[in-house]
Amino acid sequence: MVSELMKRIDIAKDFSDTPIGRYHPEDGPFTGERFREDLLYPALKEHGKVKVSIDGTEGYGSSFLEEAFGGLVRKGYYTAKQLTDALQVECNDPDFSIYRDLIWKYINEARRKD
Amino acid sequence: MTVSKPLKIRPVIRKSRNHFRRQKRRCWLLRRRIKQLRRKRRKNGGSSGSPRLAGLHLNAHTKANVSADKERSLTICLPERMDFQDNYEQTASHFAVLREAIYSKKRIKTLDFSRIEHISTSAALVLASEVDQWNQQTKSRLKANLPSWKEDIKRLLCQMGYFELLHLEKPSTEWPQKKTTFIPFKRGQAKAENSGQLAKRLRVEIEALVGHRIKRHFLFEGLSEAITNVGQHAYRDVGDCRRKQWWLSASYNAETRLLCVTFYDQGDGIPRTLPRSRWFEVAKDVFNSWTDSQKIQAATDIGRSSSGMEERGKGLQNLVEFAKAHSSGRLSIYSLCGMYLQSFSNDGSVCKQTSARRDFENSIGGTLIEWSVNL
Repeated sequence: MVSELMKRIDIAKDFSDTPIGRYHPEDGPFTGERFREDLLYPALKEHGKVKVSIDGTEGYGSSFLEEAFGGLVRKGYYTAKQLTDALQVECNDPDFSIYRDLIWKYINEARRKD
Repeated sequence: MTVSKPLKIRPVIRKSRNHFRRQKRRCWLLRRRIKQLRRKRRKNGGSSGSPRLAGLHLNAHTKANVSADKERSLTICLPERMDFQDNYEQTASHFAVLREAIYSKKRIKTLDFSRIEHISTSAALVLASEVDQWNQQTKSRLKANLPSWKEDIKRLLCQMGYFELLHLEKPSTEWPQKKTTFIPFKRGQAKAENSGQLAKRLRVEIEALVGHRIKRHFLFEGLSEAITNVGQHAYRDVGDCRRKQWWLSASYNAETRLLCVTFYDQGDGIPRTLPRSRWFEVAKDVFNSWTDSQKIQAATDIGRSSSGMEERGKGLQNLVEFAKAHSSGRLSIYSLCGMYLQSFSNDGSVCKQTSARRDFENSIGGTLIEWSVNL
């Protein structure tokens, strides 16, 4: 039974405070692909709704964000519309608000690869 | 009774007008390229091409500074000014000779530092990376003839962490603190677990130096993309991840409040890796006539990727953010024979941007990224 309670993922605490790179393992151990496949997608499948906190890390490169979040659409897991309901991006640090905007930009621009 | 072979009828293919136009353009581009090579050959050393010594290609900048003995062991004397900004061709030429000697496994008897009077941070980083590669290839250590070095150069390289990086004995002299403080060189490699931690450590050291917090997420953003690019694009033909290396350093001038961060890799370079994209297929006739600096500009401004995938190619734009985020900042990217520079000044809410490009005769041997910001 899929839990409807919102699952919270804190990238800095649950994954890494220095997320870097796109592909795993080519780019290292804390890449966007690994975050998506090991944490984000399983949480979305199990709980239906996920809140991701992006505060507390050193920062994010576009490769990490695009692969982690845009990859959900490109892999065909979800559409951008479905993610609008299922995913929340939490950001309390004003310096990180640009990353929240980038995440949604990558989600909306991503196209499913068949 | 003989059986005759069936008659082969070859279909007549009518070539379009565009086909002949494209052929004509290709011939023109080829003739132009041949003219450029002939001109370069004449400039370097007559009809015989560039002079060679012990199998190394020399030019006007390096001819007088490289010698070989009877056993073809090389002595390379580095020039007085090693600075990519003010003396690019001479600096890059000497590094090219050193690199060629290292990769063709020549014996280097002496790398002479005695003539150096000035060396910039980025030139020192590239020098350290070349010597580091030599040490790794030969599994030995290039000795430092310290008594022959100028005192300023000894102090500078000591503060930059040259001796620690190369596992050489550090001079024991205590020098008085100068205006500019350096953060020791760091070496990383693609796929390494600690890449992110190295970038974080640099930020922590910078903040300790500067005495206050900096815009760390922009710095990490730029560095993380530079590091990711090394793993994905720079060393395409290198299978061994241990050879996919990068080097990093930083300096801070307390008087001018100028922070400089430099990143270098010895990969294929942006101009060489970028054209293998889908866009290249469409615009290749035009692209063939583009210089290295134009390709770097295109990669930075428009966001292309050697992978040809739509979702990629955003990384170089990340590099700009750290320079943009300060009252004045500059990003310079040297890659192969090109340089592209973007300067930003923030006057309240308005951000002014200027850019410049330059092409050189000699390659820098990879990609060098420099951020200079006023804190």
